[in-house]
Amino acid sequence: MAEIKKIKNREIILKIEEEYHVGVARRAAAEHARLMGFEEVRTTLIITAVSELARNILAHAGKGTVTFRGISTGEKRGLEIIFADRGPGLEDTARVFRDGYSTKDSLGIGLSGAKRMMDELEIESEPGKGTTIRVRKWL
Amino acid sequence: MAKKEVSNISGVLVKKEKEILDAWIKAQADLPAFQKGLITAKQLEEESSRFLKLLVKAVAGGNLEDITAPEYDEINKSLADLSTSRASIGFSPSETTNFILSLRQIFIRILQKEFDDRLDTLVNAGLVFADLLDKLAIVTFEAYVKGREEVIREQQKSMLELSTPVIQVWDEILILPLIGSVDSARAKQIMESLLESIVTTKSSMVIIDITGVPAVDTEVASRLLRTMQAARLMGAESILTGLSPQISQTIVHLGVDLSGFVTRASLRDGLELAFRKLKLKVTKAEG
Ligand SMILES: Nc1ncnc2c1ncn2[C@@H]1O[C@H](COP(=O)(O)OP(=O)(O)O)[C@@H](O)[C@H]1O
Ligand SMILES: [Mg+2]
Repeated sequence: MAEIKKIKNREIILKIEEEYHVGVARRAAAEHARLMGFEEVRTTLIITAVSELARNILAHAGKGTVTFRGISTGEKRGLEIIFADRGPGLEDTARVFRDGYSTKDSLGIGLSGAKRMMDELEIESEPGKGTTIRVRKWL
Repeated sequence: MAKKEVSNISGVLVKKEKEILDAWIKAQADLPAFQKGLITAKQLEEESSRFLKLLVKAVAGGNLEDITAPEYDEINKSLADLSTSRASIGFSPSETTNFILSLRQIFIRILQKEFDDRLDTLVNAGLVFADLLDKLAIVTFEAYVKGREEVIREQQKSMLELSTPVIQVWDEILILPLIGSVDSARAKQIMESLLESIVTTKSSMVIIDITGVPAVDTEVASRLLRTMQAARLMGAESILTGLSPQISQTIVHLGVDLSGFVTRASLRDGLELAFRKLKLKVTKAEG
């Protein structure tokens, strides 16, 4: 894979600590996506994935951050969004992508849905240390 | 610091109350908040004199350090009230804390006169007073922030109430137009008011229109599902309308199963379906 570079160092970090921060992250996602030139359908997919993963931070880790950055490989440009927390982490990073798997009493399709809505999703997690999820959508 | 010295210092405050007050009012009159006309000269005088009286009373026993002690109760409360009211009439945070901080210079000058032959006592007294004023300034600042938070909370509450009307459009037909994000506090309120309206209006059809919802994530979707299930248990069928192409796509990507419920692209289509199910017909009047 080609090397991914940040564009112009433009990057914003938002905290996720209270319910309304999820809305703030969603609006930031909408703004970034439209500004980069994503059309409505893909903008809505990005907004929804952000909503999902930011909500997971609140629900499963308590608090964390969301970072938005424009990226480029030389040939293509895209949006990268990073969700980081120091919550309980995950033991099995494959199992959480199974539709319907939830340790809370919710639908359990957020992570797998986010993966389907974005072009790329990488998850890094260590039990007791926290979780970092990186998603990308290319223009 | 020695007990005697402390009582010396608070003694100066008591003795020089009038002098301090005059200098303080003069100093405050030069501050921008007063220049902007946010409060009158009379108010400034009254508030300053009341505060200084309370301060003199609080320090009279020799406690210049612990503002959580009971002798500071009155002053803390009056400071908090003052900040809250100043916040509401448009004082900025720095203008509000300046009320206290502008005392510092004045104290120092008075102490200088009083202890000009005893440098040790002067330095100590200056530090003790500066420290006390800092603590009181923090009290005003915290109260100021609390006042603002109160305003925000009130606004949030009124937005919650504003945004979820349940409209009876015809006998037995309710419309719930959702606008904005449906987060948990609102979702709960929406569900309750919808179920209540179903009962009071004896409705059998509910149209939930999500044209104004920017994104449907799994949380919103599951709340919608639960609301429609609850309506069904109460004898009302739901029609979900206003699914834009992008929302439909996200629902498919998410894998939310809406198959048990009727959906329509537009509110118009949903209303038409509701009429048909109730065997009602809308026709053009003749002639
Ligand atoms: N940031 C996170 N920290 C720890 N665990 C997480 C995190 N995000 C997701 N998980 C785990 O993955 C599971 C699946 O997540 P998801 O698909 O969003 O479903 P849901 O949120 O409905 O449970 C969660 O139940 C939780 O156990
Ligand atoms: Mg989730």
